Formats: sequence, structure tokens, C-alpha cells
Amino acid sequence: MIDTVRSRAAELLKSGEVSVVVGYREGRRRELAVPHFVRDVADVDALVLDPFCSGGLAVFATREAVSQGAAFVATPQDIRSLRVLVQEGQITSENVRIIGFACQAPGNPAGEIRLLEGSRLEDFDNVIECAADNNIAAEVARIMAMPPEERWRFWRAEFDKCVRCYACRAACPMCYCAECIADRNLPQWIETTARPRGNFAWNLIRAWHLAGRCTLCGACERACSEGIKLTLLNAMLAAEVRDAFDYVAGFGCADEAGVFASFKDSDKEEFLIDG
Amino acid sequence: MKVLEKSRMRDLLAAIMAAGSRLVAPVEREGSHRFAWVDSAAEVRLPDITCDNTIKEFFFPRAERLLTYKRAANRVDITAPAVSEAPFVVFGCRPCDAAALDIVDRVFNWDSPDKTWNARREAATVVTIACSRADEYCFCTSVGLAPDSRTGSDVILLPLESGDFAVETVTDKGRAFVEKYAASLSDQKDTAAKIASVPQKADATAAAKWLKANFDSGLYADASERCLGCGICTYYCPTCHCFDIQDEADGLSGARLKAWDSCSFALFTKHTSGHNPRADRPSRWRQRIMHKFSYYPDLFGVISCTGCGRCGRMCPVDLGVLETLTAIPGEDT
Repeated sequence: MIDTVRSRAAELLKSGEVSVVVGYREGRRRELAVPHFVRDVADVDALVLDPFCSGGLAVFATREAVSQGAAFVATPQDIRSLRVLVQEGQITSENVRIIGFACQAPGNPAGEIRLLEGSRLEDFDNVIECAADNNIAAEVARIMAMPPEERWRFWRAEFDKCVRCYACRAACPMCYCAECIADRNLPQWIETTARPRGNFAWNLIRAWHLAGRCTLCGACERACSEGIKLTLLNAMLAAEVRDAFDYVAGFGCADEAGVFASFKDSDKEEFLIDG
Repeated sequence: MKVLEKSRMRDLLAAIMAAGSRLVAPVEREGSHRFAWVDSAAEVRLPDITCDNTIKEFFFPRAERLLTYKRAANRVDITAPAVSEAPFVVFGCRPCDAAALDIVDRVFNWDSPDKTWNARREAATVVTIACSRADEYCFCTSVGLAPDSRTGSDVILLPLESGDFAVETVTDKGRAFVEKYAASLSDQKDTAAKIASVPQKADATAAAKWLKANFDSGLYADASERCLGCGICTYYCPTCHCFDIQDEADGLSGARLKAWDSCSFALFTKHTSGHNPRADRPSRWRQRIMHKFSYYPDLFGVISCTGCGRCGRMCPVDLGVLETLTAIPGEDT
């Protein structure tokens, strides 16, 4: 299987379709394959594919050196992330190629991997497989069933862990703003020190800015050095968006506008008119 | 020699707390080992390597109040918290953790002594455990340290084959500690300690020469290509000490805070004009490497890295300074 990945990477580079293949190579420890940029056909043998290729490479798509033509060794969530980036006008689908794979148990050495058919983003329209979505639904339900005070304490304890390293932002494909609101300091919109108030403000605004955009790739939570349950928070907002607008980020096709950039007659307007 | 028997470690920790001293020691939380204030010896769980966080936060907190202010009718009342620290013991850190204290002492006593850092250093007794294991990220021997270095420790515990620890005093403070808690220790005949073997992976001193001569090298762009630009490597570094001063207001009152900051962030060097002298990732990565292995040794005579390996171990993309050190031409040993 890795031979297929390598030969497809080589073909894409040789044909000039892309100038870089963003994939994985072995890390220092077994449980973490690391992002690897291949620009030279001779280097494709460094690429690996195993259950420790955790996804999230779409974060590199908006970098200038990559956005001009790149292939991504991509999970279904990464494909969805790339699609959102196209919808939001950050990259053009013409410049994206995909070497898609799905692992039925990511992070588990025995996790089975299969390659996905297709090369261009359009080939993956309506790819919906996504194990993470199902696993987290029960946890969302558990949190939502808590009385508000208990839920408040739960999130307060989670956000208290935050050291404000912004790894969640750095690892997120959707956090591509040239200047993040957290870095706007004239005036300082969000307190920067790792104290409860600023930590709450930062973690909530990060999540809000991802509503209707997050594809639940989990890169933020994997990057978080304090184990904050960021995917859970993202999933709660994704559930809100799904219930209110019947919309899941990154599904469908890239030329459809995102949920907050479009209007449908069926959109609910309870906040304007009663019912 | 004095020995701390493995089975009596919790007795010692309980005795420390019973004597009125506060205690910082490793605990386990959600599958990760952390240095934390502990209330009971039963909470303590020693990690194989070291904890994910560093002990610097007990000397240089993530966010610390320098003063509080309150606006009144025609004046502003300012209150500065008293600089005094009750004694505490840091137990179970590693030589790479303790050595960092000695390194940071220098910058915090350079032009203007940092009162709170010094007060906490004064109040702390550091009881280190030498390493009997190392992982693929450890590189203390590449920066002139060792798994049983004494620097920064007051007492060092050397692991024995039996699982007990030989107790060696390093400073006067350490001697007083051993005398005070003698009842928790025993006497045994001398046995050799079982110390980890940490292969030398780079020569940081030789690397410093190359760094100085190759400021404009393309190495930094290559080395930092997959860097995400977060602050993990700096916030989990035992020697990174950069901070920001922020006023956080609450209506007419508020606090002035000293809080961790990171050279990984673009905002770190952004001027008021909008110009940023370190506008891209490679220049920020270069700064991190140069500061540790060139500028700091020039200013203070020590490398500002203890080889603890956290910058790689904690990094979401497994980067860390060692990879760059070993990529320096001719320095790959």
C-alpha cells in the first residue's frame, strides 16, 4: 500500500501537477508519524503510511509555499477540511491533489488502512466516512445532560488547564487568519495571561469561530499539551449547527458556500420572528 | 552511606509536610505525570523519565501578580504583594530539571535581580532523583550534563539496584535537609548506583561556533518547515524564561501581571509600527536556537538547554532543538 502512495506521489511530482507532496515520515517514537514535505521524486521513499498518521495535514494547505500546488496524504476529515478551505476562498481546488486514506482505528497499531479512490477534490464529493463523529456523539449527550452548574464546572476545570500556548490554533486548518483576534492588542480583546477569565474567553472564542467550519479532524486536541477536551467542545457546536441548519462542515461539494456564507429559505429565523 | 528505602519514600514526604513545609512532587493526572503541589504523600507517583511540565512554574509562575490597583476619587491606590515565600521542597525532579534553575538564576540576576524568583529559590530545597532510564528524546550528555548531574540540586538521590536511593548532599541546604529528616533515612553499606546511559547525540559547544558563522543559513527554513508555530516548546522548556507584562482590568481596579511569553509567536517581536523583525517561522526558530546555544553562553557562560527533551517529546510534530543541533553540518556525532 505504501508503494502505491509513493508511486502516486512520484507521478504527481513528475507530471508537474504539484510541486510538493505533504505526507508523513517516521517520527522518533512509534506512536507519532511526523509531517514531511516531499519536493523531489528521489525523496518519496521517506513517506510512510500507518495508523499513527494522525491526520491534520490540511493545516499546511494555506501556507504560501504549499498553496500553489500540493498533494496531501489525507484522511476523510482532511479532505473535508480542504473542501472548507476552498469554500472559504483560501485555496483553489485546481491546486489540490489528494492521496486519500482511511484508518478504521487511528492510533491503534492493528488499525486497518485502505486507500481512497480519487485524486482531485471533486472526486471525493460526499465522502462521509468519519469514525470520530460517531464516537463523540455520546460524550456530547452526556455533557448536555448535565445541569448548567455542573457543565460550567466541567468546562471551568478543562479551561483552567490551558497554558495559552495556542497549539490548538496552530494545528487547526481553519485557523488561517493573518491576525488572530487573540493577537489583536489595540485594544486587547482577549486577556493573554493563563488565568481563568482569559482562558475562558480564548477557548470559547476559538470554538465559536469554528462553528459550521470545524470538520472534527481532532488536530487541536492532539496538539494540546494539557489534554483539554477541545474536540468535544467543537462537536457540541457542530451538533448545534447540524440541528439548526441541517449542515455538516466539509460535506457536499466545494462549490457550495459554507453555512454562514449562505441563505436558504428553510433556515430557521426564530430569533427574528416567533416560529 | 545514607539511604532512602523505596518503601519509606512516602514516610519521608509525609514527614516533610508534617514539619510544615509545602511540597512539590510528581503526581499522575489523566495519564500524564505532572509536577504539582501535593497535599498528601499518597498522591505522589514517580515517572520513568520526567514529568511533562517543568518545575520552573513553582519559581516563575505562568501568571503572577506584580501589583494590584484601584482607582478612587482623585487617586489610584496601588498594592504590591509582599515578596516572601514559605519554605517548600521540590521532590523527585530530574538532574535536567534542577540544572535549569542554575541556568535561569543568571538571567534573573543580571541587570536587575528578580525578587520573586530569588525569594522562591531561597525558600526551596531541591531533592533530585538521578535517572536510571532515558528515552529517545533525552540528550543531557549533548549539552554537558549527565543523568546524575548535581547542578541545581540540594540533595541528589541515586537509584540503587534494590530500588532504594543513596542520599547525597550537594549544598548546605541539602545537608540541613538530610539532618532534619534523618529519621526517615537508614544507613547501608556503599553500593554502586544504577545510572542511565544517555548517548551523546550532538556537541552543543561545537555547534555554537557554526551557529555564529552561519546566521543566514537555510538550515532554519528546512528545520522549521513542519513547525506549527505554537508555544509548546517554550512553555515546557525548563530554561525558557521570557515574559510579558500585562494589565488586566476589572472596571476601576485591576492587576499588573507578569506572564509567560514565547518567541515562537509572531506577536512577540511585533513593533508598534507594524514592522516585525522576526516575521517568519524560520527567523523565530533561529532565534530559539541562537538564544540557547549562542547568545546565552556568550552572556552567561552556560548553554541555556539541559537536554531534558521536552521540546521534542511535547511537540505536536516531534520537532525540538535536538533535531536542529544534529542537522548542523559536521556536528553529527
